[in-house]
Amino acid sequence: MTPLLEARELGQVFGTGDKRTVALENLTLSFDADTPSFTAIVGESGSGKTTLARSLLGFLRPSSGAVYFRGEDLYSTGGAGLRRFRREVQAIFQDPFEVYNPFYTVDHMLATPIRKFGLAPSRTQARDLMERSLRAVGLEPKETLGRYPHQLSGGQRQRLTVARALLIGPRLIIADEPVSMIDASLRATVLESLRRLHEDFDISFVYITHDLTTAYQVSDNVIVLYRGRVAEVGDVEQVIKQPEHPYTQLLVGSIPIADPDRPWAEDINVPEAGERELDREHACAFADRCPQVMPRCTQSPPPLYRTHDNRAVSCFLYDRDGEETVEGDVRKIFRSSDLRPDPAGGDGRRNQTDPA
Amino acid sequence: MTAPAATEPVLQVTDLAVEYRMRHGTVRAVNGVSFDIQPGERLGLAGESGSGKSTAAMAIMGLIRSPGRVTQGSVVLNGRDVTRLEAEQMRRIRLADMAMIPQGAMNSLNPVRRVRTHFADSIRAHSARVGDREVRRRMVELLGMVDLGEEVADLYPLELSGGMKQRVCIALSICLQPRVIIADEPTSALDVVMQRQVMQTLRAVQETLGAAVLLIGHDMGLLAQFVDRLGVMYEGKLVELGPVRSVFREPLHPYTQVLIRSLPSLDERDPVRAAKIAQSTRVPSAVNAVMTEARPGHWVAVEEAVSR
Amino acid sequence: MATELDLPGNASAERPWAQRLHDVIDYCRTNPSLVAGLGLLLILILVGVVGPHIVNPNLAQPTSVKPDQPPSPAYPLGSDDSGRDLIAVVVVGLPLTMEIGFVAGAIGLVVGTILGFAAGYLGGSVDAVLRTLADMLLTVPSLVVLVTIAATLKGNITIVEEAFVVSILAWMWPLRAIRSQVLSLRDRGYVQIAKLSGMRWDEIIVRELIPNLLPYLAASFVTSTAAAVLASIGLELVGLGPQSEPDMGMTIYWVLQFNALIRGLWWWWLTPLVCLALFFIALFLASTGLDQLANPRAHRGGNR
Repeated sequence: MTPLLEARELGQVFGTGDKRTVALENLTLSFDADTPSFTAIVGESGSGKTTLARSLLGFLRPSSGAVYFRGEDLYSTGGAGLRRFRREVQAIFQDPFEVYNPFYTVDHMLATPIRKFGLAPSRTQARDLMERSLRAVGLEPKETLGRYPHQLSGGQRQRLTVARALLIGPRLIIADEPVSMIDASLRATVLESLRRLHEDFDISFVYITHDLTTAYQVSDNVIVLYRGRVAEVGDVEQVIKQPEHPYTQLLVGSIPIADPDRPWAEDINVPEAGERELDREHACAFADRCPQVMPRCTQSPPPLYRTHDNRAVSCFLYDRDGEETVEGDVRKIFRSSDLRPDPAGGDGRRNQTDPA
Repeated sequence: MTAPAATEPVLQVTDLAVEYRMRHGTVRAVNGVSFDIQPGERLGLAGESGSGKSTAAMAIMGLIRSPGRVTQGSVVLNGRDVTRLEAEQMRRIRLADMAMIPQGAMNSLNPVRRVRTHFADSIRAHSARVGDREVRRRMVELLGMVDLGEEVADLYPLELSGGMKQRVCIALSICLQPRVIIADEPTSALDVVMQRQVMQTLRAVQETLGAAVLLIGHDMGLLAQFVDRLGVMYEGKLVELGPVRSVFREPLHPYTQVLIRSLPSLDERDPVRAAKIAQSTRVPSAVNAVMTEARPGHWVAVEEAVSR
Repeated sequence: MATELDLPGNASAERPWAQRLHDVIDYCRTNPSLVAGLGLLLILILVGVVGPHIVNPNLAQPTSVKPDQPPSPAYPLGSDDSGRDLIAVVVVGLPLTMEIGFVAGAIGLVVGTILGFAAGYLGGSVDAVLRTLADMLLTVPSLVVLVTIAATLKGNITIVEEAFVVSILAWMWPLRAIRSQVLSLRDRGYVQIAKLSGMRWDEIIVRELIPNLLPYLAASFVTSTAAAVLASIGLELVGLGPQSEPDMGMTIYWVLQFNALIRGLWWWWLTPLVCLALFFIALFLASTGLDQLANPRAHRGGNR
């Protein structure tokens, strides 16, 4: 069963010598072609999440390992293969202004893929397609088409990029921080449209963010990255409500809750991440900041331990006897072939309709 | 300086208005905003892009430049209206009475000067004849207040992380023991862990100095965690102002309701509901609204001539 | 999180052409350099277009009028030592000088732009080769190169040939300018989106990048032209210009040959100098104006 998109032992290194930074290290994960999934990749700056997005989109050749699209190496595929890739894998980016060419009206953003992918045989049908996509994300064509990017609000521009992705009809959308540059009151609308695309059109999502709260809102699974490695992975409800990795615990605990009666636990004094490149051969990436660091943590990097069904943590704290290690392959975390945990094991989650 | 009376606010903003003259017309970025800050109080000013909160902050700090202008109102600090001051007088006030941490402060640290030079400049800007040893002593003391070690003094800004740079900015701003600290989005570029540490530091510093804080931001969670009273700005006006618990528990203005109730939270996974709130709540224009006290200490802007 | 000034009235409907004209006029008020520069250029061009109908162009040839005459109602700019009516020389020669400038400037622009796009967008070895080549040629004293080339072209060169010679060294600055712009635009969001939409690299250059670079292209053209005229004057002053054409550079050449300075024939050397000065001022103003067009200042009002 060939996955739609797959990273195998993906590594990305920037710079050389003193300035050498490892952005991603030995990452293996995949996204199924037929069963839609909604996965969040959570991390802060330096975690490698943006590098991962660029690698998966064909914008950054891997330093080691490879990215496969339907079994073919993405970075050595020919023009036809690349076109097929672009039809099936699309993206939504962080900056809702930068993605627009200021020289054209916003129609250009929608008309270009229609033209390049031959999505509509005539101009009227193209126009019709554009209008339908806009309405599907809650935008009024009269108020958006024919305008220049600076005439629309950030929320409208971002929703328009979602309409663009929808119009192409991909199987997978990689959304890189889609709401972080949008006003708080407009975020819910954009997030809701992403979730609806997933449910109504069976589109898989890779939602990349530093904001655990929005990740919690929209995704089903979450992968927590820290300095290029996977710290924790699993069902989003469990990882956020009962984080196991000390880094995830720190992240979750540092989220400012919008309730004055629920303050941050206590004052923390965690050292800042060091500038020096950590000793990757011999240490856990989080060792220099971990409140529960043990001597073992500076001797070798921990593997991913499976702690529950659909859950794994890369931390020696969970090295219990007979604990299965998962060799860094995130695919193996989820026992079922799709990346969606069993709905029967519900945790008060909303109803999910089975894919047709 | 004589100590002010106990109930005298340390900062009084009255009917402040700021206009920008653009090519196609004049825009009132701040349209008649009034509030007080009591000594030692933490007041938050929330709003999104276009609300005018940053412009109001800049007006209070005396940083409005052409094509912007303060067209009406006053900002009284220590008995003086800072909007009427000349640049030189403003400069003196800035360091001594009012500490400023404008947006992007950490990026305006001079990259070719060490941290200790920044401190020396700040400390000596107010009183030129401070000896080297005194400067050093004061600097180490300030760094300690923001939880930074003495070794930071000899580093260059680019050797510091974002959180450390921001704490250096905080330390620089308080070097003359101000009575008010104004921080405009002090943590917007920081990750969530650094953010928490910087805010903790700010609170510790503020409590030690007994200074008041005006915190401007758009992150309602952050504001909820930090402030005592919260003001919400929309379209250049204050639409709600009250004790933070009161505002969060019972937001009275539709805009505040949208801000608070459509926030993604960790309590339930329902983006649909949040989106519906955001889309269905009708937020009236604030242009003709007037602040009325709807609950004790809790004000909300209502349309004039509308009786509730 | 951007501190946007979400100005009211931005979400206006499409603007009819009358409104657009109004916008253009409004813009011109904010960019006086551009207006002045283009205006002056237009005037100078008109001198060459309309002039021949007012002044007899044949009088620009030697032995047409009484020589060495100071300015007078009969000869408004006087006459030179060979009997050329200087006002006719201006009407005929100024356009020739400008022609050299524009032709060489255009060649330099086209070549430099194509190479600049290739270097900036394709990167890698292509970029390395082109950049090194351009840098090498930039550091060589251009006059030496031009003189060498011109001298090997035997005989009397024409205006057009001169333009071609000069253009050999006119492409390097446009290459560098366009290349650096392309480098900064290459990773923009809209280029990435274009790639995701299936556009190929050549399409991206033409459809996405060039429209945004038009002010830079125009500015490069202007600087290219200025450089070309300077180079051509240099060539002509050492006697390698077209001997029978009375362009501005050749006029100065004859001024030097006939010692006009010492002989006090001030109208003879002042005329080409003033013409050239006006041309360069016009080019300079236009370049400043285009620079402002390409990089609007912050106080133009936030529109994000």
